Amino acid sequence: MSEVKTAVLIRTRHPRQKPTEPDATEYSYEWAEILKQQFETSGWQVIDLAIDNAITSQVESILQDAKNEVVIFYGHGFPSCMIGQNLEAVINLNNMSLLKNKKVYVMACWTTQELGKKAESVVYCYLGYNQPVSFRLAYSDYLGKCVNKGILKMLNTDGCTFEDARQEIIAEYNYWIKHFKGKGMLAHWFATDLRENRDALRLLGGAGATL
Amino acid sequence: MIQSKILLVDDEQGVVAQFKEALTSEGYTVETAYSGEEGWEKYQHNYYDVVIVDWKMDKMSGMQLLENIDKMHQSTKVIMITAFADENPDIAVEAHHHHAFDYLPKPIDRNTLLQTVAEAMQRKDGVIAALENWVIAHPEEAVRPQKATFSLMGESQVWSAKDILEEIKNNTEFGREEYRKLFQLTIDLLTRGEVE
Repeated sequence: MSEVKTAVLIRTRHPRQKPTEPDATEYSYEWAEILKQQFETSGWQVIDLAIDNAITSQVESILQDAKNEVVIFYGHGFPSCMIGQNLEAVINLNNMSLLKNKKVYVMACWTTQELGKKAESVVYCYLGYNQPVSFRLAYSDYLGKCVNKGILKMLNTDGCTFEDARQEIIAEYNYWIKHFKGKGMLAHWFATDLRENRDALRLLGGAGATL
Repeated sequence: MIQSKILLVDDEQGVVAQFKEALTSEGYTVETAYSGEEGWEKYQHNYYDVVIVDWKMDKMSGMQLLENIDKMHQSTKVIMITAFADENPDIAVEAHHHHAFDYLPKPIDRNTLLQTVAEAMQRKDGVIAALENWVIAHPEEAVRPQKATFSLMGESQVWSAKDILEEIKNNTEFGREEYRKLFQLTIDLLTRGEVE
């Protein structure tokens, strides 16, 4: 009997700074929920470090286990770190050795710029963004489709590599850019976000890695 | 209705007063600067539909100011004026090289000034004009939170369309980035019809 594979899902959901202004993580939290359900349906065990569990102590404890080799982060990012629920730098330049031999899939702003680049020597591979990831609230579901596309493709397709996943994500972005361009001000604006997000996607380390 | 805004840069106070009176009488909002440095300082932090700049000023010349504006926002409509047109016929060529909208030798009569400014206004920045029109036509939607990002950098992570228009007009880093994105995708659509 084959061993059950495990994915570590780290996802924040930050409170609103103003009652009328939703935080972007309200949306990414739900996109990550889709991942969790699909992984579990496919027979994976998901260690869900959600909201109050998306903090440094929990993340460090879980990542120390070498079995947990797939790490998914959905939340806010800086060039040098992924940001946890209490605004701590949960994975940063000082504890990035925790990512040793991990396959890392990140939906956050900036993180490949510094953290990903420096972690490249220890990770198995690292897929993330080197610029801000932004969107228009009215079209949030479509960004969710783009950012989830790569990992779901790997989950559902034998032999699908991180490089294949990267290309799938770009194709998904291109599809929705074409769909929304020139379709009114807000839709066109959303297309500009997708275009920038697409161009910010970076794959570091072993492009041939699979889940 | 969004009032069109003009920056008037000339070290001759009499010219500034005379032009300002003529332009405000037509309903334009006019801000003034009495040196190239002052004009550049104001330009960097505000949006102007049209900039009128005198060629000869101490320290930062009108041409230098035009060059700076050209590097920052090539689509800004700059009208270069000078009392030295006869002595320096190359000024007009150089001004056009830096994308000046027009070049007027002094003395400039009221009608010529107003007509040239009106023509420049008709060709105002297309991205900003489109945004302004959209904000006016969709007053409720324009103030709703609209854009979000997965970064905690900066004071805000959520913006309305009206906020973004203000950021663009105030020439902030965020505003310039939004403008660049819109402009780039629009250019892609116009030139290739595609975005790859």
